[in-house]
Amino acid sequence: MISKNLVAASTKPIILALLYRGESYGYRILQRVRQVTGGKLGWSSAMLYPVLHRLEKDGFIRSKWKLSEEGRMRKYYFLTDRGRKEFAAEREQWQSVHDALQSLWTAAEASD
Amino acid sequence: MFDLGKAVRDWKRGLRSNPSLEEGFIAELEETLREDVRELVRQAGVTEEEAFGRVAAEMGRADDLGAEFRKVYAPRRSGRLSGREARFAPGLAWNYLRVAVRRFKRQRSGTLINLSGLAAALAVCILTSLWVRDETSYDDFLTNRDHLYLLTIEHPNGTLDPNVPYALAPALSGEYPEIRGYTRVYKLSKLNTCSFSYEPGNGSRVMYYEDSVNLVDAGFFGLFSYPFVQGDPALALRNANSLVIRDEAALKYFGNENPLGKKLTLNGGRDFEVSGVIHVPANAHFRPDFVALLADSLAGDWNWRDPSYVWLDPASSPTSFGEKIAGALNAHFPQPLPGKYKVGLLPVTKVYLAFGRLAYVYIFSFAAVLVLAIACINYMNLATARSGSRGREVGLRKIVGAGRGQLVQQFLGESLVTAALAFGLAVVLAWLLLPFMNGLTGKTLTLFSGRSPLLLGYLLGLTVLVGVAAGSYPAFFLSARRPADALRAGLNARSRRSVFRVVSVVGQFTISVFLIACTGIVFRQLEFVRNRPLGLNTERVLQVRYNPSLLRNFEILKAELLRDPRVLSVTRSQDAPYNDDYKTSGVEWDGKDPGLTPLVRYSVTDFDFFKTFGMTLAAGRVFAEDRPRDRANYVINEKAAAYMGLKEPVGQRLRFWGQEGRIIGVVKDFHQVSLHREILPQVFTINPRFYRGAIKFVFVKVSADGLTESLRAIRETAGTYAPDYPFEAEFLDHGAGSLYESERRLGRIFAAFAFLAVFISCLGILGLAAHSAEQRTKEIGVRKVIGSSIPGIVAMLSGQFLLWILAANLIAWPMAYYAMHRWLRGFAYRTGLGFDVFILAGLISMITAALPIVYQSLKAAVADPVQALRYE
Repeated sequence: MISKNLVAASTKPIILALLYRGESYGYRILQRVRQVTGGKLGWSSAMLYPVLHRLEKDGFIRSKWKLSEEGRMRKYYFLTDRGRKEFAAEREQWQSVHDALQSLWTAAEASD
Repeated sequence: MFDLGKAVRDWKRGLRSNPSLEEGFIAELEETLREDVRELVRQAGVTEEEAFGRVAAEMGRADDLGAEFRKVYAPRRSGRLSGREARFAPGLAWNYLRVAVRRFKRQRSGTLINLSGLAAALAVCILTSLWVRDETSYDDFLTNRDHLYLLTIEHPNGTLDPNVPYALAPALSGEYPEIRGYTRVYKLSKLNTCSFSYEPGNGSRVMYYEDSVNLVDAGFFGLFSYPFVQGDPALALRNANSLVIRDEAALKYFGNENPLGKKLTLNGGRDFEVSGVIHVPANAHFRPDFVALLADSLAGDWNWRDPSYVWLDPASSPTSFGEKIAGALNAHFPQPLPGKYKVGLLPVTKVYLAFGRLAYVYIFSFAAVLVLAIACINYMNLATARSGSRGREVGLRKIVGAGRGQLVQQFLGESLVTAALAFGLAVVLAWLLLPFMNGLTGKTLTLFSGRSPLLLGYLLGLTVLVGVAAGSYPAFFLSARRPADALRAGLNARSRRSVFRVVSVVGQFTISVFLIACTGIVFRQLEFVRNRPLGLNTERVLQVRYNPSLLRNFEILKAELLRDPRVLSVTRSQDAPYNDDYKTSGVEWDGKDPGLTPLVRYSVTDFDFFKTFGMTLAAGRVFAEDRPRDRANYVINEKAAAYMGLKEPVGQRLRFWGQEGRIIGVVKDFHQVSLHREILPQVFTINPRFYRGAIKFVFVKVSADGLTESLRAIRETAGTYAPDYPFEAEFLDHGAGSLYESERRLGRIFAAFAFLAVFISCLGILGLAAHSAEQRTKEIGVRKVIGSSIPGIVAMLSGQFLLWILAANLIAWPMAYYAMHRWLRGFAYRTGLGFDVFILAGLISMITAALPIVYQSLKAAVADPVQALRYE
């Protein structure tokens, strides 16, 4: 299982990345995350929604209620322009962290 | 049987128990829950019941969910909500308006006081602004206004003289290249009687006496760009017989005919041809009716009666040029004058205000601002006095999250709305008062003229300023209180005595008392002037225009007039005995210091002059008709005797304009000029050598009975001896009265300002007294129950206010004393600054303030104590 801190830290880039491809709603987002990670991140609705609201308050995403195919009201989220920029910034940061770890691990393996 | 719908409803009810979970969040969660359940049933094949149980458990309990959401929305540690404050909340503005309207309704008297006070003060400001704008706009229609200057001379005693010798401007122009052009204005009609006649050609004749006939230099219309209705400014003064006339004069002589090329005859002798018609705007300081070319260069004429103007090169500095010419008078004057006469430059746009009027612009603007300040103070006072009753509202607003900024905005908004309403009322009020104002100032001001937009903008700005000024203190005062205190104050409304309130009420009444005292002293001086024996009597003296026909027939006319018993005396003279003109240096006497250039008034007159004007003799005798030699003799006044250092003046030799004669009498001093100035030494002559052109009026003293018939008889008699001239006459009382017209006007305007100041102050104190009595309702009730008398309660309630007003008096008296002391210094003959005026001002302020206070106190004192105790 992945540590709580790491999960918390990664929610924002993950949601931004998901919404980057187009608007989506809570349940779909949860499903996609489960698919991508094989359930390893252990996201729950109780965790997702507050994060979505936080992102909305910060102005990275916006939401609107729409009628779904099943005839129920559903709240869709989509990225704002600021959110797109934020996504790029996040991506760069995580990329550098990833690169740093990658090279360190490679080095660590090589020295074995 | 498991019912998913019911299970979800129950689950939702559970969630709702947490206040952080709003309906929207729950709806979102429900959506996910339902999807999860459906998915689980499809994939894992479990029952709906089991799936719901698993999913709901996974979502967590209501409290945990709520905690998560609250983290997002909870207030920050600073205590402010983390949500951004709405910049503009229309709903809230609506609420403010409703609260304001409700408050206006509930506190009708307070609102009325504020509105009427502010409206009255703003109306005064509007009227004063109109007047000030008009006063300061003089001559700004002149295209050359920035480079056109009046030459002035500063006398050794500091007075500024707008008139300079005729020879000065040409001399300066020849010497300094900075002067691009100059024009002298030779006021012909000031020196001689002027009449123009026009013969339309059908045998009739149109003729009028004229008071503004001016001879000018050729460049005049280049300097003074009066708009030409007809003719060409460049060519209008081409010839010596060209005449430019004013549109009004053109209408008078020619009616609807084209004036150009028409012939006008001056004094029956000299013909002019009209070459142009000008329009003189209302705000021109120089208002010529007739303008012709000054043919004589007057290069050697150092008389100084009339103004001269110079046009300076725009590249030159008027300051440094002014310094250059400062000493020019004595440098050019053939016989240097003693003392320092300083030549100076006065911008043409300042000429109108420079000779006494500027002070009035300042005084009235200042008074208007004072009145406005009083009204603003009223608003602040009432608003803060009522803060107790608003405390609850403020406290509640703060508790539900209003920021201080929002409260300030709300209160400022209220005062702005009040100011705007007051402004609307003020415009109506000003419109109603404008005719009265025009009567007072002798102007024709309009509220909505061509230049209104600017003024309107300025007045709106003033309104906003008033709104902010009046509202700022209450806004910050009210919003600064802590909610708990504010709420408590709301319940326990006995507010602390505020220093601000004491200071402001004292300030208001200081202003009021100051204005009352000033008004009193102005009127007292006017009374003094009216009652002071002037040394002459102009009552029932008729002033008739002199003309060449009367000159030929004067002796017969006089005899004829005197046959009427109602005619008491007849004489002729250059002018009425009081005026500012006719000064000369051409007087010599035995024992005169040869270095002295004397300055003496003179009167060219005739027999019976002293009788007609009721002057009394101090020594010797007056001119007698049965002594023809008296034509060559002189009468002087007491001042002249003292000035010449003659102990026994009668019989002494005197040379006047080269004619030697003897002094036969000394008249008692009389006021030839307004009481502003010292009586001047004066010489009287009846020598016919000086008559040519100098005599302008016949004066007839009539008895009190049958004035109208006397006037008709005089007109008929004069008509028979001068049928070819129109008859023009007026009683002199008007002329004498006009000497103090500006003081009288000042007195009236001061009285109006003082009245307003007192009125608005009293409005304010009425509001405060009402408030104070209301707050002490319970106390008054208790006092009455334990036996206080009504007078005792009234005294208790009023005492404090009256003490404040007493303090205001003590502050205002020295201020008024100082200001009026300075004003009175402008009069050579003046009333004392009696203490009674100040006492009176104090009494007036006390009584006018006491009325509303005692009324309110009495109302509170006679109220039924039971009602009072039940109050709240």
